Amino acid sequence: MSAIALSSLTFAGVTFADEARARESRAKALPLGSGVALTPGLGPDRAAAPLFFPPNLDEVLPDGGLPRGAVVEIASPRALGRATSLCLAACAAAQAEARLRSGDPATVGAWCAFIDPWSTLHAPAVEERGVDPSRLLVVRPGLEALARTAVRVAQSRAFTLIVIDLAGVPGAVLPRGAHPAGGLAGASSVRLERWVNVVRRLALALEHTDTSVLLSTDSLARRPLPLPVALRLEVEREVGGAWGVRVAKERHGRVGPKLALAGS
Amino acid sequence: MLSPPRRVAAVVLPRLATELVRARGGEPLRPLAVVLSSASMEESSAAAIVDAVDERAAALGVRPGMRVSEAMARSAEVTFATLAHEELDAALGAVAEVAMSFGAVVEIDAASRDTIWVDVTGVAHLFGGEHSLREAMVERVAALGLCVEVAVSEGPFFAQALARYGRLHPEAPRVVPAGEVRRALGRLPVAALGLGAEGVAFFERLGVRDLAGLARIDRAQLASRLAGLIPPARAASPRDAKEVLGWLDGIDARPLVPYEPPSVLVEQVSFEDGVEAAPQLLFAVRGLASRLSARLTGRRQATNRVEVILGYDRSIFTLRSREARPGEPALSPSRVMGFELPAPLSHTDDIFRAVKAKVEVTELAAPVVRLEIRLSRVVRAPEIQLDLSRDVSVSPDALPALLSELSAELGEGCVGVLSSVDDHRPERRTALIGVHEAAADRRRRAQGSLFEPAPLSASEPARLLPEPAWVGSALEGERRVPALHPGQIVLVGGEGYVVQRVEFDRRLTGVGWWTDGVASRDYLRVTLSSSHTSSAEAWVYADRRTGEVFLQGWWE
Repeated sequence: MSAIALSSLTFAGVTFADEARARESRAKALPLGSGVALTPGLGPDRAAAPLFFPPNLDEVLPDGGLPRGAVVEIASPRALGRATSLCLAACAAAQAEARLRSGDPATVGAWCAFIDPWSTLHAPAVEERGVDPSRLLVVRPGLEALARTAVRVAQSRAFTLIVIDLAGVPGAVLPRGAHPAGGLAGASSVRLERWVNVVRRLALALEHTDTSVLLSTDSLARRPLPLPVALRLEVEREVGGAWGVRVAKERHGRVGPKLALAGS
Repeated sequence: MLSPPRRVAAVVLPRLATELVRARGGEPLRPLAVVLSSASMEESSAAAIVDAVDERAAALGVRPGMRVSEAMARSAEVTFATLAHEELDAALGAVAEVAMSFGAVVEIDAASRDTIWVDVTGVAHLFGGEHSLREAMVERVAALGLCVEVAVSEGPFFAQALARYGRLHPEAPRVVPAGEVRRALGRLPVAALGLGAEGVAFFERLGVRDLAGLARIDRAQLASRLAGLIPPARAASPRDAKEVLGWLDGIDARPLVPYEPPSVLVEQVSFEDGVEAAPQLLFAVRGLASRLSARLTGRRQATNRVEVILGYDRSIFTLRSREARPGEPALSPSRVMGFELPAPLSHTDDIFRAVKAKVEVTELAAPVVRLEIRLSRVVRAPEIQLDLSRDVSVSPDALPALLSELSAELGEGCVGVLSSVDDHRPERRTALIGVHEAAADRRRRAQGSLFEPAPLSASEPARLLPEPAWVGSALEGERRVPALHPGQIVLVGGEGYVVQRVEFDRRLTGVGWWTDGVASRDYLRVTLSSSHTSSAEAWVYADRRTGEVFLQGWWE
């Protein structure tokens, strides 16, 4: 399986003087062999968007991008390590890849899904980060239906990328108020020990597909067992806007120390 | 360029009336005769005319056109039942909608009420030829549980005659190529012309039994005879002798009058004994979903609103209601459950899943004796783009099916795509809209909005709290103080965060001044740290009217 590379996102921060220069630069930066996507038809609005990722993030990942047909965990303390931006970047890359493959910038394709129990995803930010919101299905289940919904979405095979938010953000409360007894470890996170089996079911649903699932988790949440994911990334925001990224688990054992990456 | 020869298919439903009565489930398996009546008329009187009989009643000598008393005299075994005209018309309409998938112009024969004509000119190649087209039509209509005969020819009369009388003459072709209709019709009986019993008897006395024999009679003599034998005007009957003579010469040029389908699709089923078990109810739901799907598919349409109506057994419902709420007025013995679908659906499984999710969680107040599914909003079927950008092929129906299921289970407003709303207040800038609205929203945005709000900042936070979290106050008594300052500790979600840096972001003044919820706020971009995270960026605002400070989002 190939990987979804995130390096295309570096284009989102570049302001090109003219379209010809833009095309030239894209052609130079396009790694054709790895199925890496960039965003054809990059408009001035998107070009003016801020830079969210260091250019060498893909190089940190063992396969040069997110693995397909697998479950990837992105853990950050209290989900404040820019995991959301990373997930949205992956969505944008997947959508851009579809446009690139079709050869027509007007093509819409590559549905992604974002399961957001806390209803905190902000639409202007989604657009700003290069994601086509009309191809991003947002599902807001209650916590009691979260696992069931996630598996159902994965089994549909209709999506290239599925993001499941298991952590929320500090201060967020569940819209419905009610949640099952024991469903929460703290004010706004899921009990991860129950997700060991759910992740296995997700992995089964993804077998022989090109769909990737990203689990955004709280790295500080209590967990008796690690989740059986194919790749676990630990991301943390450093003082001054820098990033710390560590491959904490990988199915072939390619783990490494935390790398500090420059960021905006 | 020559236009292709006209081709018309006739879908004849010889047992429709009796099949509808049988489908009610209440009639015993005895020979059956049906009297059509208005909806208000419940019992058939002895003077009523029998309109339809099944094969077993026909074998006993009961014929359509007899009085009920006469039919009763023929056989005591025959059961008589009434059928409302409206019910018969609705069933014909449903078949006509299914037939629309084979041709754009469809007409219901309002006189015989057993035939639907479809103009299939130039479409046969889409099905692999006219024989395959005919087989497909038979299969599609038979799937509705109806006995059907289909023939294809040059005009409506020819096709109807071949379908109707072809059953009696198995050697007669069902598909007659252009130019060969005279030879094919020659084998049919004179009754195929619709002359009535008197006319058929007259020609039999002359030794003329089939249309080939009739065609050999001198046209001038035949015209004078036919003038007196043609029954009073009925749409299915020949209008004049000239038209009958035209048929004998192979001319059938009457145009079809297009059928206009209803805007709301309704299918229902009744239960003789009340149903209280979900599996039984779901079995009926699947049948109704199948019928509705066939109609929608024929119309090239889909639905995005479904209503499920459960009719309870009135007596049991009343009894239970009195026990549960003594002294209160009786409620309606039915339950209506309506729900929106995030994407238009037309396939059986998709509709079934959506209804199933609703019905399964419904607590039945009494045994259900009537189940009705109403598709109250019908839209053009979406054209699903094949996603060729994937490494693995994906069913184009996977997404609509998932949407219907999730929407029915989680409820409206929990499934959709995000849309940015033109509003200065951040909490109002995110809306979850239906997937089918997204395309229109994208077009609207592409054309440009009349109102372009000023950007709240160079970059909006990815996470916005639906309900802002209170973190402090910018008032000390009557004195205003800075909302936040470096070194200050704020509590968010039960944990303490230290303010590292505060940066003014923007100000809202009197936004929504004409409403009760006027917003006057100072927005701050605040860098926080804690024992577990070295840096986090929060979006905080101070309400300038009250002095309260709230956390509204995170640059996450």
